[in-house]
Amino acid sequence: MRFVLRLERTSVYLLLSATSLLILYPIALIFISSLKTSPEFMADPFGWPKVWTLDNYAAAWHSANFSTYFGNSAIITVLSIAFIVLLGSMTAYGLSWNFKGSKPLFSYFLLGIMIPIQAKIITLFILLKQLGIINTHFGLILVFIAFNLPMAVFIFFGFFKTIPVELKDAAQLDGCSDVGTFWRIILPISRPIIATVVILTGLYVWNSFFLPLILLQDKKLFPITLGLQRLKGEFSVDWPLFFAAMVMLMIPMIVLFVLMQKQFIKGLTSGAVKG
Amino acid sequence: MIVFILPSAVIYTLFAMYPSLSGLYYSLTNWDGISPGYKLIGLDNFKEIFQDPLFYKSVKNSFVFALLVVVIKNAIALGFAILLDKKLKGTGFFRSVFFMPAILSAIIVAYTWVTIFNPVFGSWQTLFQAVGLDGIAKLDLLGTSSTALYTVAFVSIWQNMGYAMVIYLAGLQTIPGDLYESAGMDGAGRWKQFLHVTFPLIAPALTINLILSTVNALKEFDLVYILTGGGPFDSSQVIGTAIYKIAFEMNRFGYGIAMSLILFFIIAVLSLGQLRYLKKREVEY
Repeated sequence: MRFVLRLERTSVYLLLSATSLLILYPIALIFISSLKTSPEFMADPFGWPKVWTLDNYAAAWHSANFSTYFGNSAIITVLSIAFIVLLGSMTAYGLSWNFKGSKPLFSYFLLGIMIPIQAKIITLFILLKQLGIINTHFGLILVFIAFNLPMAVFIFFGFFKTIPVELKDAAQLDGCSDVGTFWRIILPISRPIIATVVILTGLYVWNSFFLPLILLQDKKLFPITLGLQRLKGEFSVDWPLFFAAMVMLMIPMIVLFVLMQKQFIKGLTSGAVKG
Repeated sequence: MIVFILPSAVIYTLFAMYPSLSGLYYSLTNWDGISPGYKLIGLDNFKEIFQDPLFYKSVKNSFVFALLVVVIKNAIALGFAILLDKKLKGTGFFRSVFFMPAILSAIIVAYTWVTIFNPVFGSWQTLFQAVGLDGIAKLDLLGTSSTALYTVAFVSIWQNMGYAMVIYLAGLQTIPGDLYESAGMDGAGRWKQFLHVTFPLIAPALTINLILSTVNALKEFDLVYILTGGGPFDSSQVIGTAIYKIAFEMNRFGYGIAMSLILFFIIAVLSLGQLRYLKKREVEY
């Protein structure tokens, strides 16, 4: 019996380890290959680098425009997150007052989750063109805000419902205006929920490919995801340089994930209804 | 109050809701997206869709892709969730590793597997050559019509298995341990325990996972676009990439919009149907 148990435990660990290898190996391959020179990679795509080099990163950053792409991704992500958190929490706070019509309005805000992105992308392209904000960060960020508001409103609303009314009343008695109560009382106690929304929308925007592909044409405005696709599309791609560029896209998220695994897993799965 | 809601309401209505509605109108036109003029052509786009081989091919591919991904991914994810729900050493590590691909951009995942399956220097080739299976080593999985779609499905499962697993784990943790104890005392073996205790009680997690995976698989775009571009010869073309091709490569906006409305309709019917069925099932237990 003991033997059987041990055998079973060993096979469970073997299975778990094999699966971990299947998941980690491809990512490790990209990392390690990005540290090889191009001739070495073509000659031996697998072994450890004989000469470790960061030249691919320097080349990607300077001559392949990835400093620009990285900056664009950062700007787009930070601004989108900031406005999604601000507008999402404001809206959820307003809706949590239970005025006449607040329920249908709440449902209206959730409706967006139901509609797949392909069902509005073409008309969205037309709309941004008509408004003259196609091919601008401004237009793209507005779309990111609009697409992520339903999720943010939903998450904030769920949290605001749990805040005791007495807290708001006390603040108002102390002479706080509505805006003051929201800014000084409600937002500070919402920090854990803000973290959830930041992680959820941050990953969505930083990793997004489809929306920028449709809404941006000017190379100078590209985020990293589009920069990668463009680099790959060029006549002959320098693979280690390409891998270095891939690492630039994934490293911020992997570092954050390793540092804050719990918040990431909780944040991403609390968005489990996201469409 | 209005101050709090108005800015969001304007942005959301204009950029998320209005485009869906105006699509209803544009789907009745023959607009190419470039020229200033277009004509209203009634239901001609929809009539054409139902005679378009590309439409049937992409719908079929989307269904095959969704079925494979949903069934295999959820079976594996549930299995691992049960293994990792036990008090083994290192479960935290394995959970994090399995979840990690979910935080990566689909673009990264796709290019990583493009590298692995590269016919010149891919790991796939080297691995199977090393063990003497030259026939398998020579397969160009992404570049062959008969394997392209299945390879994309594999990559999708690779990326999203851990996410589904975490949702199952959350479900498993709500099951009280003494239920298993009493089931064990009644003489139920492990398979019976799974069938009569675990499976019924994780019904809500199952509902979420099945609906999420179905919807996401039906609107897949990024992975297919990067891994195969829908090829070779449309063999891995799914609805999402077909719409893109029609609208932005063939410049048929009106026609593409009509097709995107059909995609919306398919997703809505399937997910609402699933939801009703699974919710009913949840109640029965």
